[in-house]
Amino acid sequence: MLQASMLYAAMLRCSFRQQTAYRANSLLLLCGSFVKLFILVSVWRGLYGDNASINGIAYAEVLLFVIVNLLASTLTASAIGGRMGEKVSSGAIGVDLLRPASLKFTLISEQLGENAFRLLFSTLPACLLYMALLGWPSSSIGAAQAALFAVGITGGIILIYQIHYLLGLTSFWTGNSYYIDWFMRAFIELFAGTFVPLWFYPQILLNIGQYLPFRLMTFEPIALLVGNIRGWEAAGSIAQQWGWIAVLWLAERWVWRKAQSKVFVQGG
Amino acid sequence: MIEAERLAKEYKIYGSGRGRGWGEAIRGLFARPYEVKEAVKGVSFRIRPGELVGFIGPNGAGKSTTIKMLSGVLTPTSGKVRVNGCVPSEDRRRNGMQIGVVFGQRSQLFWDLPMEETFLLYRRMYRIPSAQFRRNVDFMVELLEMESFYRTPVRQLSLGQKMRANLAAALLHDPAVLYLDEPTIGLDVVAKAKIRRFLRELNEEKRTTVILTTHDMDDIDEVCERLMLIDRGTMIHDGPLAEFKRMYSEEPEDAADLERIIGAIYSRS
Amino acid sequence: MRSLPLYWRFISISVRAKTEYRTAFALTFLARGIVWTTEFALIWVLLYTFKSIAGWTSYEVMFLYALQLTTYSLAAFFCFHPFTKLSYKIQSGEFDELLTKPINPLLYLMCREFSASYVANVTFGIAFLSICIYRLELTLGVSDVLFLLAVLAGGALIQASAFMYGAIPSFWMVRNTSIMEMLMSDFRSFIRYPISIYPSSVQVILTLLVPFAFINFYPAHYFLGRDDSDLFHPLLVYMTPLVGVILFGGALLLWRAGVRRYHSTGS
Repeated sequence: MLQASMLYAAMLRCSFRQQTAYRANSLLLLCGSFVKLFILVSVWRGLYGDNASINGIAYAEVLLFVIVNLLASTLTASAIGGRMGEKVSSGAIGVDLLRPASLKFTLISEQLGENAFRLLFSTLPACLLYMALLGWPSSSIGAAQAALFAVGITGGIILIYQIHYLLGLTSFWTGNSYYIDWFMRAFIELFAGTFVPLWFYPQILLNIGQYLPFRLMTFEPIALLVGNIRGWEAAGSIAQQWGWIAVLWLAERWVWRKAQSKVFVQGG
Repeated sequence: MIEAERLAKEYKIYGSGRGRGWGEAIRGLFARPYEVKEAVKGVSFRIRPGELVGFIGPNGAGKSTTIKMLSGVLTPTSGKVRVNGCVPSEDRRRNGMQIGVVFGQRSQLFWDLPMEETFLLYRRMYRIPSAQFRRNVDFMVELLEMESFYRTPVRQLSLGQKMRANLAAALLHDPAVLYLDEPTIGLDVVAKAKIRRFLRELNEEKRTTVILTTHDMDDIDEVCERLMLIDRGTMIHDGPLAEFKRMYSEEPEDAADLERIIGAIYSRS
Repeated sequence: MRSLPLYWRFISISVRAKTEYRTAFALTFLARGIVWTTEFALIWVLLYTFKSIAGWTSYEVMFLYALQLTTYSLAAFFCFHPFTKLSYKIQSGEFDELLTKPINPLLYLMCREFSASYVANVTFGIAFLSICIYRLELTLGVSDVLFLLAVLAGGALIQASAFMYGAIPSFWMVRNTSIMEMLMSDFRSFIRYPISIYPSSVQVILTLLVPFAFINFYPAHYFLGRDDSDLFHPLLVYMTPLVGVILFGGALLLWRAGVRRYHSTGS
């Protein structure tokens, strides 16, 4: 177990270091993140107008939502589905199955390495630059809330990667999980509350979203940070995250068994 | 009729700047230091219709650059080139109508469809009358032995098959000149033989001028009548292949010999 | 213009190649449709609680989005693959092929790499436009429809120019050719919302430097019957087709310069 984690940590480091070859890219991504943040803040300022708070949510809290989502989306961006699809259609998957490393953690470590680099050298600096140049409303966060957030966002990130990987596995059947990636991303966005916080959602979508794991990815951790969800509800939120992680993990094992038999029967 | 007069081509190779200090960096923003590389240093020749010409030379000798100037892809830095009276890089339409080009392994055919689709498109592009078109298609398919894969999507063809299809596409409009850059590279022995035989028969049938560059001595030996040897941008030899062999060897029978001869010439110069 | 049947043939080949894989084509169509419908829906969700942003109601904002999507897709038919692949073609030498054919290299490039798959985008774009027009209860007379077509054409030209300005620098720059493309895509995200939410400096940039605001923001004033007193000048509302033509003309000149450069330096 220890050896395995050291292996994946090494993969992560390698993937991270590989990114330094694309220095100019980092600068471009920094500008891109800056622009994204700029646009989002302008939109919310436009929406709030002169109101200090709407639906019980203060302007400062919405901005916190925006920036945490931006950072989280960088960390959880995923090309896993596409990569898996490539491996399957090229047949390279055969080699991967023979290696003494888990395909899942290999793909995830690689992705995390890339994302960590981008976060550290593009998105985070962009956010700090924005705050320095254009100011940022302050909000007070208690230690308890921060701690809950830390637990919540960790669970959220694990959940996201689990979902990405599970979807990626479908490429064993579709050959190229291009379409699946696409419409799942859209579908998820609608219920995850990553663009529009669920605080402002119509009830009907909220009701549907209750049965889906997507709101637990980043929205509820942020709600924990902002103090919107407290006490027993907070515990419930985190419990639900791990419940879904477990369910999806079981689903993944089942799908994986099927995928493996498909590979060995058909030869990849 | 191809005329080249003191054709020359220079490239500016920009350095990344000597020295790493701030002074150099700022200066680098305004004027980067460069070297002038003379790829072709003034070659002249005349090629008559129906000739089979081969350009050989070491890598970087200037063969590809010369052929690109002849086909109109590059404009010469100095000197003149005229193909049947027109300047290739300036009169694109006329030049395009009278030449066919196959550069290396790069395929010009539509990937997902059978070659026939590309042929039909070319018919329109080159405004080929239908009788001539049908005749040429049949001619190519037969001579290149493509019946078995004529309807297969290009994506699924082997390298040798793709090469043959590309050749056919380049010749549908009966161009006066066919330019080939490394036509047999990467092909197996059988495929190479087929293509060489095709080029000879094409030249016999239609008097198409064929100009090719190659590293493969067998290409020269089996296809070309005239040899142009280029090294470091200058023409070292230009003349009939037979005469070349006679000049430099006692028993000019096989290509291995040719290779030795040419190798000796390189090392001499 | 006798070459029209030729270019039509290029297009029909692309269409046929795509429909060879009918299932894949249908699935992509569906997938893209779901993606945009969701984006469209998200705008509606955004304005569900807030009712309006800078005075623009939800269907008005969706109208902006629909104009953006439709003009982008129209341009993408002819420009997406050719120009995103341009730097690769230049570096690999595949570009040579374009210069040895008896037809205009730009037209050859655009038709050769024509992408029939954007028909999904255009279909959905027009569908969303229609939905907005219906929901906003706009009545369009003949001259309005004509102007709408001119705006779509002008907007498509602006989008096409963006593709071209993004890719043509590859004739001069050897590495890092994605700079301009990324810039273009960043600027495109600004116009998803009414630009009046941005400080005036940004609005000026989007009008004079990177005139994307003409794609949807300015012409929308006309169709939505909005009060144009908040604009620098009321004429801006009508200028989309003109801006499109000017920008595209500039792109053509830049292309010519790029080809001349290729002639002198090769790949």
